[in-house]
Amino acid sequence: MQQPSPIPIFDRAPLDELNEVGGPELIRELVELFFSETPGIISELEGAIISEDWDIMGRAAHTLKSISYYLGALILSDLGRMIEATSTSPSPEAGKNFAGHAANAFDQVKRELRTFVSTLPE
Amino acid sequence: MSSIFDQLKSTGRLPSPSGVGARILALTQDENATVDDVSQVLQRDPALTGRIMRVANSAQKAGAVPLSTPKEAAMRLGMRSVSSIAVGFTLVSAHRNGHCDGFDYNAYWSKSVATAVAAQELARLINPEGAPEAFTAGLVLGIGRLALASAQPRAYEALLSRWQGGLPELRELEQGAFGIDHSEVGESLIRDWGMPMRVSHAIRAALTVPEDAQTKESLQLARILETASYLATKHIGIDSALPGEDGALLERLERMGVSAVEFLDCFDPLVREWRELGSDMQIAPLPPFDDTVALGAEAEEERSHSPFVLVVDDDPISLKILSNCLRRGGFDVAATCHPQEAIALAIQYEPAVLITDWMMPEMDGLSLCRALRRCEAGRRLFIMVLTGIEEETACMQAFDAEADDFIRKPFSPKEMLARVQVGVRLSQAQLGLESGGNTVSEASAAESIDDITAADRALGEESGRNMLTGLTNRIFATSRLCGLFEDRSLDSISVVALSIDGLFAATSELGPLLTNEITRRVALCLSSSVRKSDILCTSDTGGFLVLCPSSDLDSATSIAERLRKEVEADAITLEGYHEVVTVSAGVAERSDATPSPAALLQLAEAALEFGAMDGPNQIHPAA
Repeated sequence: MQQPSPIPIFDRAPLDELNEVGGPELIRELVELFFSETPGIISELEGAIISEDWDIMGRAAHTLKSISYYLGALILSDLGRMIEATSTSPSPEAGKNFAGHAANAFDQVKRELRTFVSTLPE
Repeated sequence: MSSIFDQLKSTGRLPSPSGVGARILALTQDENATVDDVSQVLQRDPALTGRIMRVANSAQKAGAVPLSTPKEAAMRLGMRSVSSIAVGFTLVSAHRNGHCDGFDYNAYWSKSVATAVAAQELARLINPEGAPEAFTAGLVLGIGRLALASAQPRAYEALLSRWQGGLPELRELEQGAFGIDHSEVGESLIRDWGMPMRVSHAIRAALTVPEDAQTKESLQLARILETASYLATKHIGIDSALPGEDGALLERLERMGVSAVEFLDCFDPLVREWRELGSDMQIAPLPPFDDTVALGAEAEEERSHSPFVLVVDDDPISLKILSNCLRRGGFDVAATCHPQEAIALAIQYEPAVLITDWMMPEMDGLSLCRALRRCEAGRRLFIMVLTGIEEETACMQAFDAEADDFIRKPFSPKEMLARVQVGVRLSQAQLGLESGGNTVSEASAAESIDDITAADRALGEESGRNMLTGLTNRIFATSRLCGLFEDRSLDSISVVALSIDGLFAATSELGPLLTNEITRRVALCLSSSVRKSDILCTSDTGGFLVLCPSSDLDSATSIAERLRKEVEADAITLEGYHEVVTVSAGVAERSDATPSPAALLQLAEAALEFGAMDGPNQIHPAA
């Protein structure tokens, strides 16, 4: 399966802006929160696809889109955007084509974020 | 002392962990319970899980790999530590407000959270493994005061009005009024919950003489708690206070073997942690909390003057970014992921600005906006709607719902701060206009009061409470029943549906005022008659619902029968109404035929409806 989007996995610009207003401590907390929240959202997304509940799929995708963007996880955010758009389209089942990439994208983003956090001052 | 405590306990009003907290406490006392059991129960409450993860990670040694799941936290810190944090947090949620007018519940919890984070930090420097327990012990250090205010609200209010300041003086007044003081009540209560003896002993000692602690472990915890309480009173949230120059604090640190330099390095993060946890739990940060003086009007005046911003968003990351940026921008912030809580907070605290997400599962941001515009406090609010909805018409819809501003997600933190500042200026300008000599006629003032009452009633209904009876409504009943259905420890659940006989016919004859009064009086009678473990709510047809956990059909029928007799014996009489007020009830128990909460409610109501043909004042168990 091809990647659905040429968007980069990670962009540090949103985190740099947050760092300016909240400092490294905020970034660390957000990354922890992102690591703990995202698996649940992806599971919800996958469950909604299995049960063909497109409302839940759209809502989970909406959340994924939003939380990923703040952390610079552009590829996940874009996947969320596409799945959300699909949820209200005439063929919402197409959402599973995108959702299949979510877990893998999350793993890649985790690596990038860990590297980013390791560069932050204590 | 214990018999006095038992009397207080028999009021059924003492604070206790509820819901997930109570279930977890039970698990920690079950030797067969596993880490998986605890994490499964925790997962039912994502907000609680988030708070536990935050505390668990704060308690970690610097440089440790962050914990990311409750299971990891339970494995690393131990089940008992995670459980005790959960118990502490559920206590705050369940007892954020109360009926003792002289007791400042917000200040109480704000100080408790300050004491908890300070105790955790001190313990981390002495013995990192004890940090989670120190956090919980700090959170419940003052629980005896809350317990007295809850069990005897009017007597405690009178006592507080006589209190001139000083904790020993307060304990003396409490001994005079109740024969027991808050340190003893706290110790007994904590033991009653099943928490370790070393914690209950340490709490008693910390509130009286730390050196009286009975074991080495208790002594260490008592000193930590006493110092944490001192920090919460004298330093946390008080910018002018300089902990590095406070001899009494430095002496305490030395006595505990804590390096002052090391502690002072942790002080600013500790204060941030206090603000963030308070905000997360919707506790306004309102220092100073000086217990050595009773809080008077002047102290109230001197409290924080930073503009107050309320944030509601079901997305935890967005909520965290908003709260954090706003706080750093100089605002006082309360944050919630529940729109209905936001309504209550907005009415109670009248923030200058409310920022709400649009798409939320419980109630969308536009409905929240419309609901708030129906009451006086909501009309003055500057409301900003935040959304990830990309359609161009979204902005127009938000303005149609009477929002003042609209920001698309993902937002730029700097732009958001700038917009909030504008909102605060406009909100303050509006307040200035209102208090600047614009005379409001009595007629329009009266109109306004009627309007607020109507709006508050509507808001009450939306927030789960029936305003006529003060009882929670059917929406709440359904939600509680969902929770009970999920509780695998309950072997039976029954529902009693009650209605006041002949009330519907009487409404057209007597008018709504009289029938409302009858309903209110029956509600009072039922409230004082239901068991502590049962949950009384209103139905949406003018009747009542009683949720009876751990009750099968026979025992629920007995409960219904007792309630019927109580109402009859109460002999409610009103001017213009000479009939004896009676109630009838339908009773149903959960079974395979009633797989959902809604089905169980309907079955009880159907039993009531079918049974009505047999005449008034009767109980009808479902077949």
